[in-house]
Amino acid sequence: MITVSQLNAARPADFASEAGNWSQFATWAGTAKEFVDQEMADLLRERSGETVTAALGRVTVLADNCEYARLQSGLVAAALDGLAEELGDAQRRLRAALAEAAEHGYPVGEDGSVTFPEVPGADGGTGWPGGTAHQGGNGPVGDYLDSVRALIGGPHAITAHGLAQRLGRALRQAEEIDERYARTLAALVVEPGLRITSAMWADAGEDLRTVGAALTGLLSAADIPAGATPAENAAWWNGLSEREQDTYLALFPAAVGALDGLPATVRDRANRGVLEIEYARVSTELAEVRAREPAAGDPGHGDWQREHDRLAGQVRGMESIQRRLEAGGSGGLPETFLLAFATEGNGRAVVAVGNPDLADHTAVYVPGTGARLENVEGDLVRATRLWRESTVAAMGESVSTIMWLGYDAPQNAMPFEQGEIIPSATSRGYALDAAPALRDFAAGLETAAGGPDAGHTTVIGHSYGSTVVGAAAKDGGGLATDDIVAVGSPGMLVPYAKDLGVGDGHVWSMAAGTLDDIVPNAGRMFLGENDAGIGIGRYGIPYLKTDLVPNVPSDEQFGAHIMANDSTGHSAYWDENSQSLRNQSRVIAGRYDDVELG
Amino acid sequence: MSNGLEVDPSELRGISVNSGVVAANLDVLLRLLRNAEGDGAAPGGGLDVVARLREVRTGWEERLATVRDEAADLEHRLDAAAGDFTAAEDGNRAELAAVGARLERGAAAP
Repeated sequence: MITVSQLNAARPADFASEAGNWSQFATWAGTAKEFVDQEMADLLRERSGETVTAALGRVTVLADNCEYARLQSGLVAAALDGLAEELGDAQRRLRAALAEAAEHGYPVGEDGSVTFPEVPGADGGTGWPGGTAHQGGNGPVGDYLDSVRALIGGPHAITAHGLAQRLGRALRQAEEIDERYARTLAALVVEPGLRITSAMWADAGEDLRTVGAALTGLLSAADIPAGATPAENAAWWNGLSEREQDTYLALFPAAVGALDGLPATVRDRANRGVLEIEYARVSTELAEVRAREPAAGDPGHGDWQREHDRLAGQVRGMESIQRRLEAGGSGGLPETFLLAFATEGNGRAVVAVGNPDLADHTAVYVPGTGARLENVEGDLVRATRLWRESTVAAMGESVSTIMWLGYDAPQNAMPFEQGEIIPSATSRGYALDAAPALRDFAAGLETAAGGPDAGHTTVIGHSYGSTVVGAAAKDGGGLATDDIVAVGSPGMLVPYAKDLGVGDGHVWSMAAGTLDDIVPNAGRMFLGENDAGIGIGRYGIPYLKTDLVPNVPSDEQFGAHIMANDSTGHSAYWDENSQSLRNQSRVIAGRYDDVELG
Repeated sequence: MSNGLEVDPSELRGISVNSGVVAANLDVLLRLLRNAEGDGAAPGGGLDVVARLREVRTGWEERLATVRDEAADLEHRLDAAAGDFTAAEDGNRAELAAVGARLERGAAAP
């Protein structure tokens, strides 16, 4: 039981000051992580040999500790901030009641009881007896009887009873706060040792929820903008103090990391934490699933196998991203930024090679059918190759290339594949669902970079990814990009390049020969668009438009620049040293005159 | 960093120095954490939360001390490895020079 003296003597400001220390610790740990990654690990990764491998293993452990310290110390800081504020509130209530008791001359006991004097009667006898009022919290009946006693006890009794109630409430509030934050901090006691184990990362996810739940009414995920524009997101973020930003990052990394419009460095920091925690969680889940494999022939084996493969695929995808993030800054590549990450649906991952906020040229690559977290490796390789080739084309200007797996792509393109008679890749629904997310992402890039004139942007859609791009840009959708490139496109939901809103001079198409890449023709009837209907001609006279065959971007009548390419298949447009890769990169770098047309 | 995959002793030394920087930083951080405890007067005598905070701080002090020792050890080992590679390189160079000299003498002989 907390006593009146203890609560009165508590120094909430000291907890706030301690929170500041932990916040600085978190900042230090974040900086140290970057230092270890860039000035130690990246250098070692460019070398090989026993010494280097051993050293890299140990350096990775240092980096893991820094990242874990960043996340955990941020949580400690948030918890202490919350404790300081809530305890301060309880203390203010207590002190106000104590001050009133002092004004009346009532002594107050350590348990919050208030003693009041007797009131002499007019005849010199006892008019109203003195006594002691106790704090409430004795249950409904006890509290009721106390109230009755006060009412019949005279004026002092009534006042003292009210004060005792207030003191009791303050003490009980403090006790609840103490218990809640003690439990929260207990969850944040770090294990001894050097390695950050998988279980520790998994616990870190639980810690987020524990601290978030403890901070009732102070900071909440509900305060983070939802459904707002990237500009509104940025305004919210910029309106926070540095400490508030740190607290949101520590407590709600997934929500902050998903906010379009925030700086790439902020999103990266948030999402890296999410990735570590999710990796640990899914790995643990996979180990549990593996441990309960049914016997072969068991009726439940099929379900078990599907669950196993799903989790194993997620782990594989996350490892691909981790490797890519680690490779940033070495091998001639710039730093890598994780702009979004989630395991929901088929998985979400947005990875930037180079900082898009600072780049002269930014490209967003949207993958197509079959794209999902588990096979993200191939799409990361494409974004990396685009960066290398565009950097050459940009002749000294800076480039950032982004792999945008920000939607649930259809997973099959051929009839009967995965048991579906009608392949999901023929549906427009996936593209229409994805369009708002792509629009917001592109607008967010523009906001974070400083406006539409801050740099040159190209959005590249491959296969069904080009349909997503079309869905985002059509009907005046306002996709924030300067150029659009459609590669192996089965259709963009518009009949003409000019319908994409960037000017037909800025729409580019690339497709291999009909036999090498059947997708444009196979998709045309489903995802292409024709120009049939009633048109308005000269003098306002209506006429019948009879273009019954839907256009795809590789058709001349679509109106895009048709780029030359040497691709030998639907997935070969990013082969190293290829004309296909070179031409895309020239568009990315804005070297339009150097693009070879087909 | 130069290209190629061979170990470059000067680069190893650079990484060793950086590991020392991390160790020194951790030393400072540890002192700051310990100083933050102040004179031991708890900001909330009698509150459970104070004891838990002390456990959190102690836990991190122990872990950071372990990490600092690891960084310091890595600094020394990388420095030693760089020395070994330098010595081996010097040895190879001397051996090559001796072979070259022998070849020259052989070519000059009638």
